[in-house]
Amino acid sequence: MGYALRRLGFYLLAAFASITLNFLVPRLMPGDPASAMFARFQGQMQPEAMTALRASFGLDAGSTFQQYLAYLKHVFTGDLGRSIAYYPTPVTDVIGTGLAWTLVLTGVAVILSFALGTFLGTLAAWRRGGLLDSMFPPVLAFIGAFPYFWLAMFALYLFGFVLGWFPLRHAYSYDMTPGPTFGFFLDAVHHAVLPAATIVVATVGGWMLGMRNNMIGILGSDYITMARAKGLSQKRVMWRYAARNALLPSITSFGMALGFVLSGSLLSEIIFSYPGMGYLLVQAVRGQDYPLMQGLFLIITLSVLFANWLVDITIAWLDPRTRANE
Amino acid sequence: MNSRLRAFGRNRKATFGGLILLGFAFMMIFGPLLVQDPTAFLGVPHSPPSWEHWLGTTGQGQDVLAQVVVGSRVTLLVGFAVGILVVFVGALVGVTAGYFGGWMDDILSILTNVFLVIPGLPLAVILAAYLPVGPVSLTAVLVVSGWAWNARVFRSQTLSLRGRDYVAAAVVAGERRFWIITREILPNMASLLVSAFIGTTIYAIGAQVGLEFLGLGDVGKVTWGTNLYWAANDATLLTGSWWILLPTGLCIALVGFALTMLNFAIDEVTNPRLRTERAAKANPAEPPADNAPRDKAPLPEGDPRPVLSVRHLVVEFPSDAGVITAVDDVSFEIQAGEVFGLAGESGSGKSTIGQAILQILQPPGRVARGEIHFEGADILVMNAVELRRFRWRDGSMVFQSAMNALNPVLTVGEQVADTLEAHGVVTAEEIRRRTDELLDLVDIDRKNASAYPHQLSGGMRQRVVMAIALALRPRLVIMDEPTTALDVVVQKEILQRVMKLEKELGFSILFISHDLPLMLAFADRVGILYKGKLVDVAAPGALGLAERHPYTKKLMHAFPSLTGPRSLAAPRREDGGVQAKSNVLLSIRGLHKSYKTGSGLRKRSRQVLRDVSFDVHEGEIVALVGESGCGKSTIARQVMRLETPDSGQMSFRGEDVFTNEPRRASLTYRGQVQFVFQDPFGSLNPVHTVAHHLARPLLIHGRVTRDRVRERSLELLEKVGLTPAAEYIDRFPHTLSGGQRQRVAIARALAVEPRIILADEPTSMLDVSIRLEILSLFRRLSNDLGIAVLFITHDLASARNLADRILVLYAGTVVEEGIAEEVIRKPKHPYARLLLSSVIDSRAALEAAIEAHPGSAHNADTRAACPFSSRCLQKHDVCETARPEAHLISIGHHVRCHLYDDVPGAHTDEAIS
Repeated sequence: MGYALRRLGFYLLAAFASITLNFLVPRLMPGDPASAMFARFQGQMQPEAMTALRASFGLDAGSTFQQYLAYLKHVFTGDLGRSIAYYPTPVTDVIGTGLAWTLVLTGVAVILSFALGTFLGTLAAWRRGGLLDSMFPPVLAFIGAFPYFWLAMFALYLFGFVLGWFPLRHAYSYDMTPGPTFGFFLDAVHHAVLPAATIVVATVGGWMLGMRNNMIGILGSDYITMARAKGLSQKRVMWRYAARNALLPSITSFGMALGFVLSGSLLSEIIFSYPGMGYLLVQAVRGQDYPLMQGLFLIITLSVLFANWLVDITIAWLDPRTRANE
Repeated sequence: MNSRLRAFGRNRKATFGGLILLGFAFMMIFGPLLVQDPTAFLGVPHSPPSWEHWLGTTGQGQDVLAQVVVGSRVTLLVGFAVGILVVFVGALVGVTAGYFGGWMDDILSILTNVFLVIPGLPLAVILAAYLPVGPVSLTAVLVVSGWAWNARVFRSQTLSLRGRDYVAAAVVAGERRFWIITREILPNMASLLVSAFIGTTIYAIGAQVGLEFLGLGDVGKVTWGTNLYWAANDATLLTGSWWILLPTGLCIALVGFALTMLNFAIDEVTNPRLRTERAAKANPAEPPADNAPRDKAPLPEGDPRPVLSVRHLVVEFPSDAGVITAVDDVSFEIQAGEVFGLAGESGSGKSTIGQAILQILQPPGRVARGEIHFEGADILVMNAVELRRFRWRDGSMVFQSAMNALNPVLTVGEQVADTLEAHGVVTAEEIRRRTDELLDLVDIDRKNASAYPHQLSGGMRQRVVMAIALALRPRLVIMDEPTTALDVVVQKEILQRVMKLEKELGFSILFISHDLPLMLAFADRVGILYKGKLVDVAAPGALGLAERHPYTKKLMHAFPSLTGPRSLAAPRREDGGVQAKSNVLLSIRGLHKSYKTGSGLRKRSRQVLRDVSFDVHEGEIVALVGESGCGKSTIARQVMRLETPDSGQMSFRGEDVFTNEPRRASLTYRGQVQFVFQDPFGSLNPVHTVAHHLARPLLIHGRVTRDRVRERSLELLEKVGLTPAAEYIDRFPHTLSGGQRQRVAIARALAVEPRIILADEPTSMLDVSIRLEILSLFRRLSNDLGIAVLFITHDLASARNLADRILVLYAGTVVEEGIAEEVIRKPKHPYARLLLSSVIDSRAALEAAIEAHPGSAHNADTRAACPFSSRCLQKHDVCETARPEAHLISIGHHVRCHLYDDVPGAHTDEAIS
């Protein structure tokens, strides 16, 4: 428990750092882009929108430190300003629905991919030099070298346009009303298959190779030899002795890679016009909607930090040594 | 290093990746000269590949081929630029944090970890959104969002390299920090630098393309990212113009793939186990198939039938360089209830024989010929099911390192239980009963069944391993160096336990060890292995006879003894005393040291040295003796100025060292006090030749002029017995044997012409047959050059043979000090007596009772007034309340113990101990 709290402390520090970074970036950039932005919007926006925008940047509130305090107060009360593209909807409301779609889609896809990759990696290391071990890593490395969104375009073209197996856009059909019905669930799953599959295909190779290499290290250790000498069954040695230990560094790198994978999946959401965070991100960039962009940065970062904390807790749960020290 | 480069050149993946990259380099440099203008609207939009436009046209009628070729320039340049910059920033931050440590490391690593968990793309997006568009700001954005990973990797690598002995050796030689980082640390990071660059470049290309695709790049420029941006905007998918997408995507993937292949190749070269080609057929889980068909050989004659019979066993390890025969035609038998010892040095094949019996040879090792019968059944023809039944039920094994032999994530109870389950014990009730029984058998508290291995001490873990080995009451237990990693007191305790169990349960033991004196005391018969051949088998009493094999004789004489003449003693002086005539060289008074563990609010302090005082005289050899964890290496680190003590004084030739040079040791000091490390494989830098290791101290201290360095280095090598010296000077450490490396390390220490050499267990990592040679080298240096030696060891017999005086250390306190022979013959302190009675050099010594409560220096009570009081059988009340004084009980013999408080003639001595 002490361990979990200490890690939480670190992530709170990281969260604070990213909140501060979010405040500093527009102010540190050369040529005062915030002012430049207002100059550009002059005349295009309604005066009240301009005022709201200024307020959300805290530009009216005196010295930089006072601005910072005002900004912190806004953040902690859940006020991230108003979106320009969706004016006058508050940024938090715009992000709200997108966050849910992204979390479900990416969360499920990433965990599936990790489980599959780990499983394949275990088998590949166990049967060194077998088909799985010699063929899969290079092929998956090649597929993994494509940008996620490119794979998404390719999948959409092939399975959406040419073959027509999957819907072309959005998270559910337009004639559906979102709600807890079985029909809606099926429809949402049907829409999610292609985006999720893209993420799985693009990332599974990395997990597999990582697990394979960890396993190979573990398989040379004395306790594996002893487990075999004890007359334990192959399955038991492979899973309970080898994979169980090789999993620990794999989960650590899973936590590390989470932010990276999420970034990639945001881009493929755009291809499928999936109404998640990635789609909002591109809207924000194209509409130069700075408040939305910064809100997205903050929310994505906080989600990743939270996910990393969960990963740390999982490791503590799986590794008795972590619980004891550090 | 060169061999690694060559291996890299031969690697298929490296060749493949390199060729692809070469192709792209060509395309990037010359391609744009050969294609049309990528921005010109040349043809009909969305037209498929044709003769005019080989790869078709874009949604605006531009040539796709031209766009792909020209686009490679900016994309790859930005990618490589980010790769170089990020590795530079990451290495700078990481190496700084790792090398300097302290608050600098605290701040930098928090900063790194924070940046590491902030997802890169969203950060890059807000940075890019505020910056003017273009390749330069894109590069900047990618560096800011990507440096942290590298910083972390470089920090941990630096931390691990900084802890290496060769870095400490450079510090001891007086090398400056800048040169240590650039000469000793960075060259060892070469492969990491390259793979970090490759990894970062992959990331940079991907992230750059992603940002441009989002519209955050300069959409007017032709790059691979903007190609895809326009492709998405121009309704490529709606019109089905796949040719716009495919070439750019394929190029990105090919570059990424080629870089990944290079990284795979680096991984495989640095860690050959990862290669796929090699062990293609050998499945670690299956017994080798090639020896399956075999005639059942007739049983050997004679009664009683042996439990184990090994006949003409040959074990081979095929390798790149040909087949290595690890075990060569070995035959022996073990009778019921017999303890059979296999003795030999590293590489003699003794462990391989043990593994062959249980059929757990590590691939590619295999039994090439021979038979192994267990009670008449041929183990080598057993199928998988029979083998599983044989393993552990009939023959089990106690592994050398108990920490590594236990699964760290399962409790002790679970590991006992799954052994029982695998052999048919299934009910939870029965398993619990048997587990309790087994733990009782090895004298471990039943409640430890729920403990994890890391929560137990080394001795307890070894007893757990033993309990698991006995779980199914096997008739044969193979013990592979079961006590080598343990301290003498614990070793004796464990072996006594084994003897008792063997008598009770009647199993046979195959006892594998390099420690011949121990084996002579423990085994009924001993076999001597030499280079895979069993050269001698005899009862312990017969091994010392004159007509044995020459190697047996050599081995029998390789161990210093606690009795008989001292082979390495100083030439006798008239007055019999040693220190009386010479001046005090090094004097230590009241040294205290504690280490901080944990971080932040959980910082704890552990006291390692308590009030240590002693002197070393000119030309004298002083042995510092104690178990692991007693603080003997800590003393060396203080004297070497690798660490600073909490308090205390040290004077060298009368000069107060800590007062005169408080922060860092002066060159003068370094030039007089030198160090020889325990591990000769770690104390020489693998990237440098012998010449470098000798030249640096010579140059730093200006002992010779630059043009005479080589000449002097050759002389030094001659002096330590590496002749002809010219043959050794240009070799890399990995081409030398352990003994040769230790000689180089000693030559390096001699280079500065020191007055004293500290030697920290200089022979414990070496094979027994060369230990005496190294020890006699120290004696020669002392006799011929008058160099004093502070010899740190756990081996009492070596200390007795080499040293003039002995200091016995327990839990950071010097408990006894005196002339070597006197301390060994008539130890006074209860701990010194315990230590000496734990040395097993005869059957009687093995069977004699242990004279203390269980434990080791590790779990000594450092808070008590006398740290040994919790284990002492002669403890009085005063031992817990008052710190014992050092009593002088005869000439130069001091004992720090309350037992001597009232002894007539003994008096407190303020000056020493």
